[in-house]
Amino acid sequence: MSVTPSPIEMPRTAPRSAHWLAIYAFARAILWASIRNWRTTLSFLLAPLLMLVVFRYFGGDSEMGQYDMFTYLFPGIVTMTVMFAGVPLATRLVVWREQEIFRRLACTPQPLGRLVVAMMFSYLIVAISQAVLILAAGLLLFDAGVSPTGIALAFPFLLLATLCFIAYGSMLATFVSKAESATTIYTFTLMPMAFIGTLFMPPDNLPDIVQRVGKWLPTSLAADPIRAAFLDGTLPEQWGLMLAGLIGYTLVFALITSRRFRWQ
Amino acid sequence: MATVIDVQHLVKEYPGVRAVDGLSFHVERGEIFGLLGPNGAGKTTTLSIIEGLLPPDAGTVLVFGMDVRSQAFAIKQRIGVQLQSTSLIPDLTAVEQVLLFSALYGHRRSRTEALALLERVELGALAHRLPEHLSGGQKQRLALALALVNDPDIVFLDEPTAGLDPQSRHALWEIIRQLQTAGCTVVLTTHYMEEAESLCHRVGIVDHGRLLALDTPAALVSTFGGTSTITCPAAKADPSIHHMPGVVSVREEGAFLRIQTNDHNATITALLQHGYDINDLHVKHPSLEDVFLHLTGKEIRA
Repeated sequence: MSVTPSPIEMPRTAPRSAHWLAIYAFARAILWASIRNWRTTLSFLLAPLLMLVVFRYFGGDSEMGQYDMFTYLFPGIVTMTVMFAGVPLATRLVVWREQEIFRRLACTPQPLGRLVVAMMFSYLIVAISQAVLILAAGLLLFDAGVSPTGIALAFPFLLLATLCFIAYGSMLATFVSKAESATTIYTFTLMPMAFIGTLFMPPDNLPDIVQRVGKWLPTSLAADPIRAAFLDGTLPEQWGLMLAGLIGYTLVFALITSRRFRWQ
Repeated sequence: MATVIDVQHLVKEYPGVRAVDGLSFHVERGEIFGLLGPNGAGKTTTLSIIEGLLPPDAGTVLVFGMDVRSQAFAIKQRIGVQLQSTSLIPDLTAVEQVLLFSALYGHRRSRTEALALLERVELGALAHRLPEHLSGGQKQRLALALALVNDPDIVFLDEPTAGLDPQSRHALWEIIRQLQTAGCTVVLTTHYMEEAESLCHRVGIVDHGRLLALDTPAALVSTFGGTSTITCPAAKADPSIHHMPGVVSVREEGAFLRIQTNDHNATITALLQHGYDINDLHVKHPSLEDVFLHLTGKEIRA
């Protein structure tokens, strides 16, 4: 049988700009969906807001080294806000796989990998906006004293921590088949990382081996420089190693995601 | 007529099962082509391979003369797909979904154009609703609209009316007919015999990944459908019935006779001449259901 394409049947190739238009439109749509779903988006602010209130007004006179408890914990609370960025992403990735939305997207000429990256970018914007809201609330409503220099120094680490935990959420989504499992596993793995690491408490009272491991967890790699920047307006001596560590974790999580990601 | 899809000796295996087993067929430009078969027959897998979603294990698939393995991108630009599940993005309204999917095909569609497309599938009034507020039929029509955002030359519809009420089903059939009239080639899968018979120019019957027959519905019925059945109110069969034109067999069932005939007009005329009451007479013509029964030896597993 002959299959003879006529001239009008020749491949219609889209210009390169069309690809960027598609990726931009997709990222914008996901962002818009997060804004429309504002109750869920804002619900991730409840825990950090509650912590701000509790430690500002009910923290008592306890001190953590040379700082009062609220001042010491505030950088950890801001960092915690971005650490939850991976939860909604992981949930969405699993739900979209369950509901065959990725399969539908695979029918379009856009490579799925690019769409997932666009999705991650949207969640990055949402998570950073959430962190900025908590930071602003801390500065304006709870009298947290952070200098502009401190904020500027902390920002790259905040950004990288968000990316790292977004990559972590997408990696977890490749291991589970139910949305509920994604949320549960994310929370159950993040919590020990938060407490073994230095997100809230100094590690002084922990066993030596736990301190050594905890120091290199992504929670600590993000929290330590952000705390130093917020409290002292400087970065720790090992900030380069910490930055490299966060980049390394992000790349490993992203690599595992790209290897294991299945759209159905 | 030009061939737009050419499938030759297609094979796809999953662990422990050969989902598609040497399927060959072609689809011509402008026709509504149906793949009819029960669940698990291999229809969706076949469609997925043609759409470039799954790689075949063996065989060739050419769409517009292009190989799906090497030119999936160019093919995807020119086809529209409606999956079995509606697969709509939960947090976007109908018009937002149309705008997004248009962009994914590189089309800059204005909101007015997007609304016009929704009007085409009779969803204009529901353009600003989220999928969760649409009925099953409305979701299917929105999924169809998304399959049309790139003005495709071929539209693939995987069980487009599954689970819909008769009214929604007929509404969707009308839209599919309009698509074909506008010059679009439509490839659909279904396990509804009536749908295949009513919509399709040609139908391929598949089961266990194999093509059992392929032709127009009328030709399939004529070749494989067998006889018509006349149900006539009469307690006892007159011996003369056996000699009436077209009669193949007669069976007494309570107060009725069931007469198998291959010429129902001639048989009814003869019954009338012999004084049988034909007021409550009922004729059942062979259908694709009978064809399927004949070819597979079983009723369709819906």
